[in-house]
Amino acid sequence: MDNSGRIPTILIVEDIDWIRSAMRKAIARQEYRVAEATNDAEAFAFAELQPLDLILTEEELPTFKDLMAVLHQHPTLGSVPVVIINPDAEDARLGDAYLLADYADISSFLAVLNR
Amino acid sequence: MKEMLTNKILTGLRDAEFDRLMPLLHPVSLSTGERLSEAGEAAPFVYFPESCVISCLANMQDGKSAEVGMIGLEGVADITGLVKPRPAVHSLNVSIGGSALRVRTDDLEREMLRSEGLQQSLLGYAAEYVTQLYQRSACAIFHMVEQRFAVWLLLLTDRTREAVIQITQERIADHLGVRRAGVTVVALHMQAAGAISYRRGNLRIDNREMLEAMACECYGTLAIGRPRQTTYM
Repeated sequence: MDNSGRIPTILIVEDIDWIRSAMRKAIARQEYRVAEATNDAEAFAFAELQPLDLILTEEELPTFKDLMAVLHQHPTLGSVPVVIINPDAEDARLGDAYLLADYADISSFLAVLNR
Repeated sequence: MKEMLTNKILTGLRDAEFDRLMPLLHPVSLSTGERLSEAGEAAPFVYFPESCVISCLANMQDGKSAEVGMIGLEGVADITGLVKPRPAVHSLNVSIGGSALRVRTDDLEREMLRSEGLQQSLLGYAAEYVTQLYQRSACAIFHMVEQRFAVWLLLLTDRTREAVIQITQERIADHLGVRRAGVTVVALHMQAAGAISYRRGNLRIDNREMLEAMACECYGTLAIGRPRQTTYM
């Protein structure tokens, strides 16, 4: 829950069903609302309906470059952090996206954002 | 010297056969990620792994690859270069660095024709290797990524005989022919269950029995050094 009492919403953008489902399972224990999109168009349609706090995706998503390019210029989504989980990498940036080592790190990452 | 080796083909040879082959063998140290042969080329050398593990990779035009065969101390890389002297359709890559004994392909072909024991040993291994290819092809079609990942880890550590391996999830994804994000979610599930630990390129098997329970039936067929389990309906 953020400072206004609203439950944060995380949108998973992933085209492969079983990976998307496993991502959801990995973060479902935590106090978020989790939504799913299979591509950038579905992600933007979802963002029209409700505010997003975080987008979780992966760099091998076929539409990853399009997603990042459009997000970058989008008036409201431009400020929504994009997170990629990569246990091989140090916590860092990949262009406009944040790299985190573990799904469990999303919780502390959101807490920092909401401070 | 034979007593100091671990490679099953070499140590299984009779002394006289091994003594004839020994001058042709050269010890080499292979690095993780080293490419030993390319698709489209005839491999000049054959490798008898000692502590290293070599992967046979099928490479696609879009740059994707997947491991179709794994060769360690039980075998020789690449057996198909001996039985089919045409350019390979796959490449050989060192998945876990370590030692091997290297012999020129033409030297080994000549020695194979002279030595019935070596010929029988290599043919026996060729049959085992073809079995591996058959089973892994079916496994890739029928089984889930978590099951295939568990089998792959078990096969790899059967060969390294170590519980810890240095490998990134990106390379694991290349071997399994899946996206890295898929390996990440599966590895985290295995970690949460207590089967493995993973941190920045270091993977440790914490509970091998649990990992075997997560694997599909294919591990029973492919495990080296234990009786083969097969399912006939």
